[in-house]
Amino acid sequence: MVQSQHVAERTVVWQVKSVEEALHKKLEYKDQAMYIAGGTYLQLQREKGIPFPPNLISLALLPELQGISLEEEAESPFLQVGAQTSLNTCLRDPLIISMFPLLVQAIKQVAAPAVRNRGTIGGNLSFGSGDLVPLLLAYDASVSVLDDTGQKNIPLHEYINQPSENSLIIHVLLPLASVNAGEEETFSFYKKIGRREAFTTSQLSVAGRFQLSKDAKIIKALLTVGSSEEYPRHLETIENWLQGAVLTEETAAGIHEVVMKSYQPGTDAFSSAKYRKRILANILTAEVMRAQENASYYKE
Amino acid sequence: MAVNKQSVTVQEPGSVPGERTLSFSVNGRWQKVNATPTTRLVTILREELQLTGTKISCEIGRCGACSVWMDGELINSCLTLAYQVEGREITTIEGVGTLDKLDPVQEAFLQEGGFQCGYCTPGMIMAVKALVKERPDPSEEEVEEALAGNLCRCTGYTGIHRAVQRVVKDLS
Amino acid sequence: MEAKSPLTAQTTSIRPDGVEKVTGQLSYLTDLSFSATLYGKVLRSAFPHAKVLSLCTKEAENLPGVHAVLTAKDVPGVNGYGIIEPDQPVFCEDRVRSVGDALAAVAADSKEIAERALRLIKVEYEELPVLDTPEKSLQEGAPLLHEKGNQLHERTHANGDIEAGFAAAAVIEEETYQLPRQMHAYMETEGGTVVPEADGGITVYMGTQHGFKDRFQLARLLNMDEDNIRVVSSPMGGSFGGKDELNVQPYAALLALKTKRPVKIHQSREESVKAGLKRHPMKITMKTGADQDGNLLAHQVEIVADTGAYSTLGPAILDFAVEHAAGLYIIPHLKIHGLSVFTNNGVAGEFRGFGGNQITFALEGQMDRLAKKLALDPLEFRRRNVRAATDPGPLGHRIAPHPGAELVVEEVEKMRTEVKKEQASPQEPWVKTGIGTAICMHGGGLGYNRLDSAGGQLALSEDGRLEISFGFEEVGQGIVSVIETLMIDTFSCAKEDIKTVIGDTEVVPKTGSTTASRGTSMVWHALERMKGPFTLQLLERVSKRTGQSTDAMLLAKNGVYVRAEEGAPHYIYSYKELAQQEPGEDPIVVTTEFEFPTTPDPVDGGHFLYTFSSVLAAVQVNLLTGQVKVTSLDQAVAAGPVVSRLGYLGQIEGGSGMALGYTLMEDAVMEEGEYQTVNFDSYLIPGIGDMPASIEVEAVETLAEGDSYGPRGVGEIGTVAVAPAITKAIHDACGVWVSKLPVSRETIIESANKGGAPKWLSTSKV
Ligand SMILES: Cc1cc2nc3c(=O)[nH]c(=O)nc-3n(C[C@H](O)[C@H](O)[C@H](O)COP(=O)(O)OP(=O)(O)OC[C@H]3O[C@@H](n4cnc5c(N)ncnc54)[C@H](O)[C@@H]3O)c2cc1C
Ligand code: FES
Ligand code: FES
Repeated sequence: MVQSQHVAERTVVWQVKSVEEALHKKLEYKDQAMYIAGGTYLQLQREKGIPFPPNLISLALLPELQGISLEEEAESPFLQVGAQTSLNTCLRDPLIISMFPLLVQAIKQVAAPAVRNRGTIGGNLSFGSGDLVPLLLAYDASVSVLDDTGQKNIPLHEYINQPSENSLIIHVLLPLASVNAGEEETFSFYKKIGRREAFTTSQLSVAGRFQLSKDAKIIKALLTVGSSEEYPRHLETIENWLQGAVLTEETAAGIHEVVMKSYQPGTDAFSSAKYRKRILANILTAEVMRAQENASYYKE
Repeated sequence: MAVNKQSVTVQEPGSVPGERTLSFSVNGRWQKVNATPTTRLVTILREELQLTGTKISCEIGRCGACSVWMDGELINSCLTLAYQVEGREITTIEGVGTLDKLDPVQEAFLQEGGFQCGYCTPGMIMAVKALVKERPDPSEEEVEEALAGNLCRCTGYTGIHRAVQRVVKDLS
Repeated sequence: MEAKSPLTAQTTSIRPDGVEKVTGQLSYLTDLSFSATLYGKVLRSAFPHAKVLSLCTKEAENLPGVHAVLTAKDVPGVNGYGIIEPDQPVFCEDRVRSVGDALAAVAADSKEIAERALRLIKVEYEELPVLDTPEKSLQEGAPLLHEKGNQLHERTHANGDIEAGFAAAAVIEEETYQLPRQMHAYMETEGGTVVPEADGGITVYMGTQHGFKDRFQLARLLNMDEDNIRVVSSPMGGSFGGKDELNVQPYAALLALKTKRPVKIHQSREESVKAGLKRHPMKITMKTGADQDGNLLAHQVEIVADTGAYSTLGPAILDFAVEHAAGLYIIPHLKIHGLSVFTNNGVAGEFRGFGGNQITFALEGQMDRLAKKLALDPLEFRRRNVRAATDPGPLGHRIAPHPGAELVVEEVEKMRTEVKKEQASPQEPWVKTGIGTAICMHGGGLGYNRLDSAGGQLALSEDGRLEISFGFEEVGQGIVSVIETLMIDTFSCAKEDIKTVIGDTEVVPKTGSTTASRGTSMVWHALERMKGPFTLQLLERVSKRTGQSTDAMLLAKNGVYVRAEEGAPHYIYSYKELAQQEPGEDPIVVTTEFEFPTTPDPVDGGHFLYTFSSVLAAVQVNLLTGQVKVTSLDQAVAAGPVVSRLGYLGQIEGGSGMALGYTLMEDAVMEEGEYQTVNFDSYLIPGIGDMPASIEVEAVETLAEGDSYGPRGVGEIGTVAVAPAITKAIHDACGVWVSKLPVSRETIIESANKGGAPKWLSTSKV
């Protein structure tokens, strides 16, 4: 007989067969239960001394949470990714590869292949400081969730800011408009800085999307950050500052100043707030320069 | 991720928590093991099945010493729970080659000095095999991506790079 | 002898332990299982510094499944251990001095029960001020950590007239260098099983780098005869010096004796981080002067080492740093002063490089800064100042002549030319490239006046093999490969004729520790001594049986051959037949005992055999983020003839990786005596993406005329000069001098951008 590592735990794992059953179990056991997807994050936490709750509701067998599909008929078309999709499955998916290459780039920087084979996109959005969240926020992503009030689509930033205790993510919805704004040019970027080349927690993850008018003016700016020390969020002051700015060297220099003035990150044992602030300023300056370089207005 | 076709009930509603019989395949043989649903796969392999080729070093998914395959995909056995393994096929280093008949990846590690103390080696070999299965001719970048989760303290990785190159050459 | 060879794996033979390792069949000592085994756990201190007011184990003892709970009162012998001085309590009684300190140990039916039992042990502490820097420990009025005070060791060395030296100098450079607390991070954490034997003795299946030393220390604390203790210590999943001192052996041994059952302890990574040794953090201030022509004149050094709570090898490591403070440079006026200071920061001890890495980082930093001041090429500056083959050693003592210093400078210069040609300039304007070089000299063996006996045994085994035994351990370094290669070289025998026995005190002779780059050297010396008498004993037996004259015979593959007038010798007698002992014949055994070669001059700790190396590093520095990517890390090593090519290559490549980590990311950060990095998510070691995909290793095999000391070990040298080469490359790329490791990205971008807007902003296109 094998002793579980954590014999004191008497955790029941519920292999539910439908989303309704999952929700039902969650409502039944409330804070005595958690959803478990790939379990990579929960197991990590358990080894660090946070035990499993008495009930785990496994999402592994729910057909609704599987699959990736293009919803072109919708009013605003989107790519629908099942919450239970493993990160590595996302990496291999032709639709994601062709339409959301930055997402591919971001996922490649999450953990390492063995973890990505088990870890899911739903788990990444739910545990708190997932590296994909800043990028998906910049994409204006939504999630379709089920809770005691029924199933509905809500913007991701709402979900992460006020997650209802029991809500179950079914899909992640990526609007196609975020990568293809029709007439308007878009410029997007994602950067994760860690303490070594790969397989590291993030000191800073930053994502941005600028929608440009024909004369290289930023008509919409989305800018988000996150790190192991900081929950993902929009940087509204900087977004507002960028709104209406024209891609020029002055803007590149200006954004540096704005970041140095307005961004207030945290400090941990390995990097100071000052460092985080400066690299954000540097990266954004460089990205504005790059956008300027690539804008068709300047190419012509 | 492949969904398990067999319907699995780890815990019937209302039943008492505790051990259950878990059945899964290890290196091509079906095994039945008593374990709680939240027992880690690495514990089952090392302590119950005495398959100590799979190592432990960090137990939080950060080193790759415990890497095995589940249904042909690389996973960390320290992050994988018993209930997740039900009905699945696990491959460990013991299922990869034998003392008399080495797998080409093992042969390449031998020839090129892809190991020293050998403690990371079983996990590393599982990761390299997973890589060449998917990418028979990987670029340097792809090698680095595929092995990012497997730490080695002895070799500085250069011998491992050489081993991968040799496998690629031998297989082509 | 004149030789030089680029090492490639193609010209190598396979390690004897290889097949078992790549198939996962090799059982490490933490993989073994014995029937009726209990699991042990050790209760470590909750505070870095505290009085222990009371300790109650009642509840833990009463927990079902618990078989024993031991504390200080259960130690029958000396309640302490330590290679030099047993000042680390097995169990603390009234005071704890670090978070690694043990208070109690439990044996139970399972790990989980043992863990729960630990939580039931009640300890009342009264917290004491935490001395978390050497400065605090040395302050007047600081609480004393040991009776003898807070200073573990002091060492000085002086020569000439330092003031006169500086007075004559045209340029003077002064800088303080800070070195971090590096963790060995062997992938196999400490552990194994202790089995009680029927005769009242024990067998200890746990990794160490010196089985006999463990036996001695265990006998002392168990109050047991050494002969009753058997230590099986190989194979190991890495050590790098970290498993040289006792770790969990005392607890498993005490528990096994108490419960009369095998007791297994295998530390978790977190337990290993908290209780394990680290590399000494050091603060090194150097003031160095040279004349206008670039001749070094004066060098003043102040070293302060944070040795943590207990001694272990702290004094010897400080001695080593002091000895190497001027390294391979000839400097007429020297004043060197080192202090090793007790603190409440874990325990610092032996680690590959042994104080050499810290001091070399500072010394090479000085050389680069001085070369810059003098507007001299850094290698030209070094060439003007390095030792010649016959110059005295760094403490003015006599050493074995070796031309290595000049040769490695020459080699690295060629490498630099090559790499410069190949270096591509990056696309992005904020990525800068740079190249740096550094050199070093490193003593092998324990040094003058340090019991450093060695030896070995050769025998004809019952099954007809040439059986060679040493008291060394296989930690991954490939000593088994070295032994096999040298056996084949010496006796021209076949692989299958050899039986190697190591790592078991029951069956091997005392041959000293597997440390200080001494293994390879010792094997070679032992074989040199034993080959004559052993061959003769074998041939005499054949001669007696066949009538052939011993002069006409020789050893080779599978047996004994007779020389022919013409053509190849012919085979006449197999080792197998020879092993069948006839009446009246004695077993064929030859043993040898000798001292590791040391200097004839009485300088404590002074070495005699030194190796040399030079490193070339090329980097890309990203000025947006301060990230440093090492693109080349090549090394030339002068350590005599290469014995096992793959082993040699592996030691240098692996050493380079470990040193790259030391330079760029590794630090077991402590805040107020508590570790902030308890696993591999926060204590980062290099992954495959951090290392260049290939490393060029150049073996400079040349030895001085008439050198009779053979191959030197290369277990440490590969780690020593890497950090200064990388930091010089960073300077070359962006003008920032780094004086603190690991390299701070923040420092790079702050100084490269000098506050304000980044320089690259308006000057260049993306
Ligand atoms: C070694 C290691 C390295 C890692 N590195 C990174 C990294 O670099 N970047 C990064 O972002 N993350 C990292 N992680 C964190 C995390 O494990 C992964 O991001 C992963 O995607 C989480 O997915 P999962 O399915 O395993 O989550 P689980 O562990 O199953 O769940 C995580 C949380 O999400 C909740 N949850 C899961 N699915 C849903 C759903 N559909 N609806 C509602 N709630 C749900 C669970 O209740 C739980 O609270 C790492 C983890 C490990 C172990
Ligand atoms: S032990 Fe599983 S990844 Fe380290
Ligand atoms: S060979 Fe020792 S850790 Fe890789």
